[in-house]
Amino acid sequence: MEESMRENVASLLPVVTEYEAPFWNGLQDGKLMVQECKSCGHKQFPPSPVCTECLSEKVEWVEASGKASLWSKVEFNKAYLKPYPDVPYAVAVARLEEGPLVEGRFSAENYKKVPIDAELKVTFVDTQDGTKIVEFVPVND
Amino acid sequence: MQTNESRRVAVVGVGDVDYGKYYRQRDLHYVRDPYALGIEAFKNALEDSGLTKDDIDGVICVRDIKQYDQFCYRIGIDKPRLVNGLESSGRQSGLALQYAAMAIATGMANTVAVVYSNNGRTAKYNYGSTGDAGDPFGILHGMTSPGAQVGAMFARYCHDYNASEEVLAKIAISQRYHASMTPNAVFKKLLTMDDYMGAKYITEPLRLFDYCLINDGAVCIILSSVERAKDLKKPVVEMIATSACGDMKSMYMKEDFFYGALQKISADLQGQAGIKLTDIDNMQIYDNFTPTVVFSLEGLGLCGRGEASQYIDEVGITLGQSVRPVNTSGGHISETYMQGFNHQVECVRQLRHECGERQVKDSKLSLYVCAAPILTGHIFARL
Ligand SMILES: [Zn+2]
Repeated sequence: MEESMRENVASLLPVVTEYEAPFWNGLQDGKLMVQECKSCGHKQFPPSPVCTECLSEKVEWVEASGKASLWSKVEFNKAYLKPYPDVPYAVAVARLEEGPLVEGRFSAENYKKVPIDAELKVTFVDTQDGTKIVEFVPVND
Repeated sequence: MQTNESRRVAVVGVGDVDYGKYYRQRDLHYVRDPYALGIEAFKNALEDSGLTKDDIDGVICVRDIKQYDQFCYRIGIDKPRLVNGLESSGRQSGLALQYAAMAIATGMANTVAVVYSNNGRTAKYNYGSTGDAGDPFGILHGMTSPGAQVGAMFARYCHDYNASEEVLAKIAISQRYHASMTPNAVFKKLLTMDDYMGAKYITEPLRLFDYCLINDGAVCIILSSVERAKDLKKPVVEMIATSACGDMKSMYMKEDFFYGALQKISADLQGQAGIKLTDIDNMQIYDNFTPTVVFSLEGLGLCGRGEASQYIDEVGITLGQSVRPVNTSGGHISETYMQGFNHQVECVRQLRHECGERQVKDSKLSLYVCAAPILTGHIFARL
């Protein structure tokens, strides 16, 4: 995709393939989905057509519990992406209770005050064009 | 695979361009031609080796030399026995030399030119505006650029080991000092701790001086057999060990800061070369961002995990202070961002004792390592 086309947050969404569609559709419905292997129980994100542990095709989508912990965090002072020209903004790298690391937004206030390893929960926020994205917040907020 | 004397591999020629001069030409109204840059480096490497272009029977093109046929046409090499192109990420530089070495060791080619060019400055690359195709979820949330990925690893590292940004400052200051003695370096003015700490964050926790440059330039490295190298004019620099290891995750950031893969590379290199890392005279460590140097020192096993800052204080990384200085030409953050190629050139020049005031005295063994999603390492020896 050309950089010049990236104005709406929706323009950052990938071209979705068949097996990924439930994840991206779920996100816009306010659900964070992960894959669960019905053969071995492994849970994974991002998605794969098969279980990354046992290669079984019996992978099903389940909604994540929403419980997570803060693995790391960064604050952008440079605007790289046209849909996100307002800096600074922060990103949390969180470990879901199910195991995988995922990235989501973090408020400037939480970036400053919430320490690494703190317990978080998944929330969803509407961006300017209505595209939903994940924001992590402290579990007791 | 043959392993006889004729198929041991040496670097026989290195060529580059005047990075500082090109960087200071700020008012260009055109994008520098990536083929012209590559040809300049190629001719310099030929001159350095004493070979002619008719001796070259392998050409590996990297990064902005996008079309190997067009490049070979431009230098009049019509029927190379080995030819291909590698994409633009920095991990390719160590791999390019490995592919050349494998071809020479098996007899597929005799003398291979690896040619890299980068016109990132005049083409206005910013490494983040088009995102990382491998991590669409991160991009959707504004998580873009390799610097942010390395920054996130470093923030976690600081938490795990009670470290601070001061360790990064020590690296940036040391490498700038080295660049001050490198004739063609881009940035040569010495840095102080105040300069470092006073610089703006790009993506916190990383500041301006933790980031690689973006500049135009090119490098050519010519490899051949040790047997051939002995007939040429420069001291023979043999590749005595080389190793690679993928670190295949969905994100650039790795939860172990590349530690597991670096340990494998380190064991391979020491085993193949039959030496210990403490025998090495100088080390050229891939530094897209300063934390990569921290992770590499620890992953190689030069110090324990979380002990890089202590290692820098006690063993040192700086010329004149350390028995094993690191990034003696200034690296990506001060000399030039040739994505590992400038580091490999510096290995060769240090072993030939061509480095003037930044020469590490009596250098006999030099190490290159790159921590990235495909890790590579080599040990070069002066015969
Ligand atoms: Zn499974």
